[in-house]
Amino acid sequence: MAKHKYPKDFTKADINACNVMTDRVKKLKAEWENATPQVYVDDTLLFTASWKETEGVPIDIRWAKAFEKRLLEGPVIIRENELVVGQLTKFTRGQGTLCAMKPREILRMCETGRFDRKSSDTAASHITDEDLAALKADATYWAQVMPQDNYVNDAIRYELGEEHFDLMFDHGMVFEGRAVRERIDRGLFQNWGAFGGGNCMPTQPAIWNGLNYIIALAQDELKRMDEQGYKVQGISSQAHRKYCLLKSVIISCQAVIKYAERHAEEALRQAAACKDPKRKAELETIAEICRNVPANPPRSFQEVVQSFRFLHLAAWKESSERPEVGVGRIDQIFYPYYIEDIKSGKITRQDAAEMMGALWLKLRETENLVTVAREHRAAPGTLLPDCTLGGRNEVGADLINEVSWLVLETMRQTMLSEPAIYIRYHDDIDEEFMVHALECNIDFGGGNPAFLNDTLGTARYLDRGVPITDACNWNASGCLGYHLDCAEHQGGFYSLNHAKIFELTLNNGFDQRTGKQLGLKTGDPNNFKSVDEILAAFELQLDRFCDVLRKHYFIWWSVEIDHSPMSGLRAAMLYEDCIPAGATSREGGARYPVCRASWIGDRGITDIADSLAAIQHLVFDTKKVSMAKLLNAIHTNWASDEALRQMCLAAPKYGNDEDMPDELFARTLKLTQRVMQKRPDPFTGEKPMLFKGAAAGHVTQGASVAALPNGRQAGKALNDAASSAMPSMDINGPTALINSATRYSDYAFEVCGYTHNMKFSKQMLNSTEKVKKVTSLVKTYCDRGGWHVQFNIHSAEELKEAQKSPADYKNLLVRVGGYSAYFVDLPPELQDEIVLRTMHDAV
Amino acid sequence: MANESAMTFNVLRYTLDDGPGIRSTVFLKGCPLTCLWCANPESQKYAPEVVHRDVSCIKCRTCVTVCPEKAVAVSEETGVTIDRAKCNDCGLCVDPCPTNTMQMMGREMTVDEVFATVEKDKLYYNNSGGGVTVSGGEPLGQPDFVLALFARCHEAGLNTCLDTSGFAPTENLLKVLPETDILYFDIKLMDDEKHKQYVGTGNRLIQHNLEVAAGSGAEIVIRVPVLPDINDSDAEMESIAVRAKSLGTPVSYVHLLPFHRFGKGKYTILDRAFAMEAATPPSAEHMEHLKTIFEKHCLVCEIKN
Repeated sequence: MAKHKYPKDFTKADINACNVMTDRVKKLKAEWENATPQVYVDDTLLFTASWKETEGVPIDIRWAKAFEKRLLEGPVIIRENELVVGQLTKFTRGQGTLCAMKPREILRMCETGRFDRKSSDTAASHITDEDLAALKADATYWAQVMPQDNYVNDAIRYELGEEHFDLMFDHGMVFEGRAVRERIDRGLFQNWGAFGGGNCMPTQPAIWNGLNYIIALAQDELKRMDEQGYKVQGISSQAHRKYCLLKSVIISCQAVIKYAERHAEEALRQAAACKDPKRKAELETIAEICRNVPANPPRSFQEVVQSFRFLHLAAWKESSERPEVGVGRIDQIFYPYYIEDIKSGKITRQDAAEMMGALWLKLRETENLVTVAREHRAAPGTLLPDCTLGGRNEVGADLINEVSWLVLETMRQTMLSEPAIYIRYHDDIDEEFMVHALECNIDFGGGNPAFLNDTLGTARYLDRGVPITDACNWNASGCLGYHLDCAEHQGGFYSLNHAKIFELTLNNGFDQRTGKQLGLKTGDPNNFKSVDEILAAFELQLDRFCDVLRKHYFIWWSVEIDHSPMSGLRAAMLYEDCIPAGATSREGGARYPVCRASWIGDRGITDIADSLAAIQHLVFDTKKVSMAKLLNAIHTNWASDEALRQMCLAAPKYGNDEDMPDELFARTLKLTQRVMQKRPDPFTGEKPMLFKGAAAGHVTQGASVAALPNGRQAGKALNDAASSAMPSMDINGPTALINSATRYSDYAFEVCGYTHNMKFSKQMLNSTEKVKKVTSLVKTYCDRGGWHVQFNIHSAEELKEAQKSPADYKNLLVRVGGYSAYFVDLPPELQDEIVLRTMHDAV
Repeated sequence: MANESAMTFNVLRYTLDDGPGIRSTVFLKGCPLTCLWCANPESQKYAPEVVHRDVSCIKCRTCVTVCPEKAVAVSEETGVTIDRAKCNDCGLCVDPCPTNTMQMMGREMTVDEVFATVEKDKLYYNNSGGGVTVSGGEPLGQPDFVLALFARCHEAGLNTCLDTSGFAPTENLLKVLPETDILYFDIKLMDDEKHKQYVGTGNRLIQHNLEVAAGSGAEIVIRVPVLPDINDSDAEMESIAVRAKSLGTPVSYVHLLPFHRFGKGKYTILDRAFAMEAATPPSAEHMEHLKTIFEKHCLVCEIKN
């Protein structure tokens, strides 16, 4: 690790001395913590009203108009002593929704009166009788307007047959997805559907140049088209589509500017009535700022923070049924303004720290009404606003700066579960910064920040033809995804349950659960003579499911695309390409083809490897057990033979740096990678990206998998993330686990979201010397080609106590997958699994 | 060199307290001392010992069935118990145990075997300035193995550290010193009589060996366990500090190790009593105070929690 190269006229102590939690911030945090989550209905009512007013208007413009109405007629609130303004709802903890997206789901909630489908009871939403009546009426309207069934289903049924839906049973039988048989609630747009994998976020060009600049670009493009023609091949709907998209860009951007101006008016109104001269001056400053940003380039640190807040809020509000509105490379975006204000004496570091704290609270306020039952949610407890720090630029310079330090300090002091922070780690990173990061992690506890391999992240894009100037400009996004800053990824995402496919392989394609032959007949498992033969059969099964899933994906997205326009605002955030192209990223506006490649997810690789290792050890090597006996035990979920389950658990396991299981792990990885990337993306012909995302999917998908030879019981969670060992089974310590995970490191090159969870006790990090040893661990992990490593730092006892008395542990943060969450808010199964993750402790 | 072997009870990776950087520590079994506070009771005897860890035991009675000495019993209330009077540590119960809860503490390992394990973390050592430590038990009880392992480490460019009580024939120490980069050397008590009382033997040989080590060129870290009512007085620490200072530049650090009771569980599974079960670990304030005594002698002193 290197000594710092960036201007560093501050010390770690200076940063630690900043008080983020000033009285003002403390008070705002307390207000948020003590607020009851409330269902916020005005958004959906305004949306519906606008939709009724714009009957017959093209859909892009109609969407923009509905967005505009929500910003112009929705609440404008400046809370007492607020520095950073822009509140999503009229409540301190409001959960908005749009009935147009999922009318029947919301109607069901209204009818049962249960708005408790957040990830835990403590986060359950409340609603007043009046709002409930309004929400019900609104949902009823949309339920009547929208067709009952899903035309996507019809198209899939036509091509793949009714039995295809068996594969999506229970949200993740073989394919991850919703229970299609239950009839997806058909809304105006799918709440996930074809929107998956986006990372709409306030980008640097939008913030630095201001929305007026984007409006001018769109106007210029319209003018150019007017003068020179649309230049499409003959008469095409594309021309009109482009026209409408550009119009919607202008409407959306102007709406955000007006929304900011409404805040200026409110600030002045409050200032006029304010007796306290200090607060009066603050309000006047806020008014001045809101008149300038986000319309124009920011003129100060406070303005860049405020501009960011407005754009983040707008992006969220505009597409609130889709989470993953990122925070992005905030240190890079803020730094020029920060350092200028510090140098000129306009602000102090302390002023900036307080402002960051205020911003963090604003980001945490973002919530939405969750209609999916908590046990079926892929990422409970988060909306995935990811923040990325540092990284090397195109000439290899480390981009960590003073704002990066402040972001970590803000995280440490505010103790909020979001945003998740990612540090782009490389050999030239400042060692002192790494120590700071880990010390913040220790105080925070729950795996924040995480570390991504900077070299690998950039190399993946270079490999796919992106030039270095853009390849190095990437950020973490969503749940374990990552994206180029210049172009949102808009390939689709779909996921396979590999553990289930392995289970089917051990049953000659037959599924006990449904009593149906879901897979191919790849041979009587009793006749397998080696793990090679099992893997060969598994490959045939997997290949067949990949083929089917690709068809499913192709039909789904082809049909869905016409019903899910992307907003003008989203395009505006990425104007450099989308505006001249007149198309969103998904429709071809993205700069590089890689941004349109689909992502294929998978789960259960370690479960498969450990199962194969148990079979190798018990059946083929020591011959302690016959295959028939093992299969029988699995079919009965071990009811007949607990001792055999224990033998399976005690068999060699991945994660201990032992050749046999680790080679099986590597072989399984390699095999699955080969099969999943065999077929190009059906739309673009690009090689699909592989992905290990959606943090808690291993719990939902595990529910449909029978007992496995690794000793796992039926229905229990699969192994988390990508490279974690079976809980409590990695007994040779962290270096052994890392060696196992990085044994076949070219896999990480292909697979995004290849996460490595580690859990340490505080004892392991109780001195600077030991913290430095962990930085060496991160370095070695990356040297060996690892991609993503994160540390949960607490004791198992602490977690168990928290399960017993959740009220006393409201603030206990843990790392789940691509995000941190409040432990007590997680579903019980996920809590258990986190407790079980092997703790690396001093001996 | 012959492929030496030694009786080990653990090869632990990612150890943070046994020398600089990230290390692997090889624990050798067998110790001539009988320190009351010993935190590694499984290291005391040279011969392997059978233990039962209750964690995932399913009380399947396999161990009871296979034991030729009828030394194992299982009951719902107490779980698996081993009658130590009958048990001869033959280990026949270990392999059939489906849950791996019946275990053998102690295994003869060759230098090749041990090196194959510790070599796996070479990159971690290089990235952190770490290496390989041999501890115990008393590693100088098996000097040929230590010498061979350290020589192998040096061939591979790995730093070596010997964690010793110093109680061994001086020739054993002299044997390993040429391949030893760092010595972690205990000083428990300076008074010979008290040493006999608590450690089971006087300290003259230990102090002589320390003198020898200081003249060898190896870096020495003095390790002082801080034991309530045994050596935690100012006077005792003062005399240890004087001694450490007298050794001159080879001494790089003094580590104060507050007494702890984390070894308790291991006494239980070995069916042995822990003599200092009731003793209270020294307070953080007291540790800080003792540290100043060493600092007054211009020694770099660290408290290792």
